[in-house]
Formats: sequence, structure tokens, C-alpha cells
Amino acid sequence: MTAKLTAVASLNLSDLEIPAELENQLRRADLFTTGVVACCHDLLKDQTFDGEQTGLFISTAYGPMQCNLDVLDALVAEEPLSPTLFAHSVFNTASGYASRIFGIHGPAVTQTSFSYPFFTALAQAKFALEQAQLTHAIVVQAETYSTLLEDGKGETATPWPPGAVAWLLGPEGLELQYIQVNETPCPPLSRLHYQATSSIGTRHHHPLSMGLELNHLFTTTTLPTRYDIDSGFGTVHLQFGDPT
Amino acid sequence: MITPVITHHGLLSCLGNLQQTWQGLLDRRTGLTPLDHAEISTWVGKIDLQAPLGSAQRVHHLIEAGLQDLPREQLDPTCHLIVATTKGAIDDLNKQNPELQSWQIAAYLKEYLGLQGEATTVSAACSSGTIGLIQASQKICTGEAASVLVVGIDILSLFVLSGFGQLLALSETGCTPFDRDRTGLSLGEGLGYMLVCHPDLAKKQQITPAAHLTGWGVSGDAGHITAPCRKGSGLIRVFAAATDAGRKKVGGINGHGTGTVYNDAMEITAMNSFFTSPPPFHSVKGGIGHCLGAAGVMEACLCIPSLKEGIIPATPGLQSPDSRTTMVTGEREQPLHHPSILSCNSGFGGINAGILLERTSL
Repeated sequence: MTAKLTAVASLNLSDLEIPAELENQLRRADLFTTGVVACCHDLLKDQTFDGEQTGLFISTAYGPMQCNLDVLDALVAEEPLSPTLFAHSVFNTASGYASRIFGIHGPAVTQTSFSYPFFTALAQAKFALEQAQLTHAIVVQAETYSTLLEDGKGETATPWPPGAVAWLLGPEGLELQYIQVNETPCPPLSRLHYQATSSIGTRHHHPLSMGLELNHLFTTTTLPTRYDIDSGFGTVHLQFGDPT
Repeated sequence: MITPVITHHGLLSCLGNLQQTWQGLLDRRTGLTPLDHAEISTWVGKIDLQAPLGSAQRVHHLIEAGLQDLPREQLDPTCHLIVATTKGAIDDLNKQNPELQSWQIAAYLKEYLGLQGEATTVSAACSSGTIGLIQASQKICTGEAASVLVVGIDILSLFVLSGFGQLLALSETGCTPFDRDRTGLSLGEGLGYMLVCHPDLAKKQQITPAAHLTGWGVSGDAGHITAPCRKGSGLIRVFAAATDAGRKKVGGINGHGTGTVYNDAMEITAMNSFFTSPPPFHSVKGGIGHCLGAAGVMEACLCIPSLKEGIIPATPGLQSPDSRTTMVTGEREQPLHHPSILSCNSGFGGINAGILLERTSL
């Protein structure tokens, strides 16, 4: 099946108010999982899809890093480790929450990519729609960041907002004709001081930024037919077709 | 329809390299040993890596030792790389400039191997390795890549040992998968690699493939975060997808078989539900431990000699099979019913994945 962009959603975790219907289900969740689930909730609120034929493709640069640090802190301090905290330190836990809450029974996969997490997952979702018996694919990138990351970036670096972006791919919408992600090796600090430029002239300073830009264009004007990104750590090429 | 092929494969486990590990399984030997740590009483599949648990140094040593047999000169520089891992050097995370964390290993390996193609990391808990092989196959089928190297890697760490300890999931005496008296899992560490290629590339390079990758499936339980669906619903969907709704013959199954009460019960339920007459199945985790994100690739590697010799080895540790199992291998190996093996894994988040490997016609 051809992949078409049906809906988009963006979320800023700094000013998130958890929807009442999710409060109980997210009562133990960490910020990373909360971001994934809340963004999916917003994305899917007016959509119809068959959970048996829907896949979930989550991506992240750093995952639930603060949760992992909290586990280590407990170990170093020789305090009892919470089994819930450990379970939430696993990168795939957010996909477990989201698949349960939204009834998604297709592939529920998490990928990490230092450079272009959203586009890596988008490419995977496009493959899955074209190859597998899926009618819909949900693509989500969430970033929560941590004290360690803030320390590493240093005081002069541009702040990175915690948040999430999500796309629903399905049989209707704007055709995603082509996506190619090329990552190239670069020093770790180049990735930390994120510097990328899109073909419409925007400079991006954090890995969530490009998804946010595309969502903004999708909801306010229209997406460009071609969208390219260039940086020290690689390139991304996207091509959209006509809406149906 | 393109059928991806496996041209190179190898592993390092607590029983040794691929040949040594295979022989260990045939001998029904276990590489599990008691963990020497005051706080945690369990058995582990530990490799002699001369580096602290959970450290970047340990990941380094494992990469060097585990990829020793990989013929780098035969790798196409444009080969894509998929790394399957869960935690990397997690015990070092709170150190200054932590290295070889789960999200850094792919970039490191890409440089280490001199590859130029795309490098990604699958972080789908204990199904990561199998999902990595599925993603590689998809890349071959869509023409995105001519060859994809999949590396599964995970090391023992205090982080993960403590976590599973708090979940009361660790066996104190060594895991006994599919045994009616099973008491929990034993963690292991290791590295496995598989080069998945387009059949035309293998032909061009005059390499006889070790196996064909003829089917696969991934499915979420959409249930509990750490416990599997008791009815095995996700795994049943994987069986259906990987076998084309039962149309492809399965000669044997390499189960996830962790040795926990709920995982093994779920797998037995799924096998008995899907197959009218389940083929012989086993687990290698009583021999090498549960290697988490690396498990899927390492276990797929062990399917290759299995296909070659037409047998499925015994399950180390198994004494008294769960009463609901009829075909689980215990005392000795069993012949494959057909030259194909379904290798499955399940993980946190309710994820299930499986691949069907078939022997190359000789």
C-alpha cells in the first residue's frame, strides 16, 4: 500500500496537561512514555483505524534517559530499586503503553538514532505499509532530555525543548513518495550541538525540530513537494505527491 | 518475490564461538555459572572479558572478540548496519562523557567496520535482534540495500541484574526453560552477527548462502508492560505472519524460552493453539543465558548448524517438561520435521517477533 500522510500532532512536554481519560493509565508512566502516549492521543482523536492492521514506530535520540539515570542513582546509593522504574527504563516500554491504550496489535517497534530519529522511523513505517498487511502506521518521536544531557551541552548551547511529534500514515492523505536517510560519521559533540539546515532555509538546533517544522507547515499552509535536510551528520530527502 | 539470504554469521557466547556453542548445546552443556556478587544470588552466562560489568570497556572487548571471525574484506562498504541492543554500557551512564551507550554503538561500529551505509539501532527489548533481522530483510526486499549487517550485542550489567532481581524474575540456580519446575531466567551476554544479502549479490560474490530468510512477523500484545499475554495472542499472530498462515512448513522452533513461569507458559499456549501438531522446539538459554537484545541474532546464528545437520538440540537445564508440551526437546536432540526453523523472541512492552529460516538447497 502507498504511504499517505493522514494526520499530524505535536506536543510540548513543558506545558502538557494530561487528558483526563489518560490520567489513570499514565499514573506510573515516566515523562518519555507520557509524551509518546499523549501525542498519539492527540493524533488519533478523530481518526478511524483497525488496530489489528496498524503498526507503531517510535523513535528517539535519547529515550527515557532520566529514568535510566534514576535507576543508576538508586544502585549507587544502595537504595531499593523500584521494579516499575526499571521497567520504564526499557526503551520499548512506551510502545507497550501506547499499543495497549490504543489497541494496536501490529508491529510496535522502537528505534534509536542519534541523528534523524523521526525520519528513520518514518522510513521504517513506509516500508512496513508497503510490505506488510498494514492499513495504518503511527510514527512518533519523543525526546525528554536529562540533567546529563544538559551538562554535556554546556551553558552556551541552545536549549532543547522536551516534546513529541507524531504522524499517522494511512490510505488517504498526502502521498509520501520517497524518503531517504543518509547518516555519516561525525564527532559526538557535533551531534550534541545540533546544527542542521532544511531546504526551506530553516536552521534546526535539536532533533525534534524538523518534525515540528513539518507539522507546522502541514497544519498552517502546505508541505513542500521536496524537503531536504543537510547537516554534519548526514542528509534526509523527502518527496511528497498529490493529496487524495 | 526476493528471498533474502544469509551469507555470513557468527557469535560469541559464554560457551565460546559459534562452533563451540553449537557443540556445547549438542553436549547439553551449560555455560551458566554462579554470579559472584553479594547483593544478587543468581547464575549468569558470563564471558571472560576482563572488564567490569556494564562498562564501555566490556562492550569494547566484546566487539573485538565477537567480530573476530567476520570477514571484513568481504563486506561491501555500502552495506547497511543494524544494531540490536537494549542497554549498552549502562553502568557507565552517569560517568562523565559516557561511551558505548545503546544509542552510540551503531555509530561506533559503523566507523570500526569502515562502513558507509545507513546505521540504525533497534531498541525493542528482547525482540531487538529478531526485529533487526526482519528490518534487514525488508531493506533487501525493497531494494534499499544489497546487504545489511545485523549485529546483536548486550553485556551483563548490575543495572539489568538488579532490575530483573527486583522483578523477582531471576533463577537462583540456573534457568530451566520449559521445565514444569522452572524458577526464572538467567541473564547472559554475547554478540551475534548476520550478513543478510540480496540473492543476486551472493551469486555475484560466488558465496553459497547458509540459509534463506523466507518469512517473518512482528506483533504487539497490547497488554501488560512486563508480562506476556497469557493466551499468546501476539506470538500467534507472529506465527501466522511468518508462515503465511501455516502454508509454509516449520521443521522446528527455537523458542524464546527464558525459563520464567509466564513466558514459557505463553509460548506453549501459542504453539499448541497455532499448530495442529507442533514441531519440536527448544531453548538455548539454559546453555548461554538470556542475552537480551543480542538473543535474536545469536539464536538465529545457532539455527544455521541446526538446519545444516537437520536436528534441533536439547534444551540445557530441562529435566521434567511442562505437562502441556509434547515436542519440547529435553534429554536429546530431535530431527527437524522439515528443513526450516522458526526462531522467536518476545520482550517488554508486549512485543513479539519471529523469523523463518530455511536450509539452502544443496
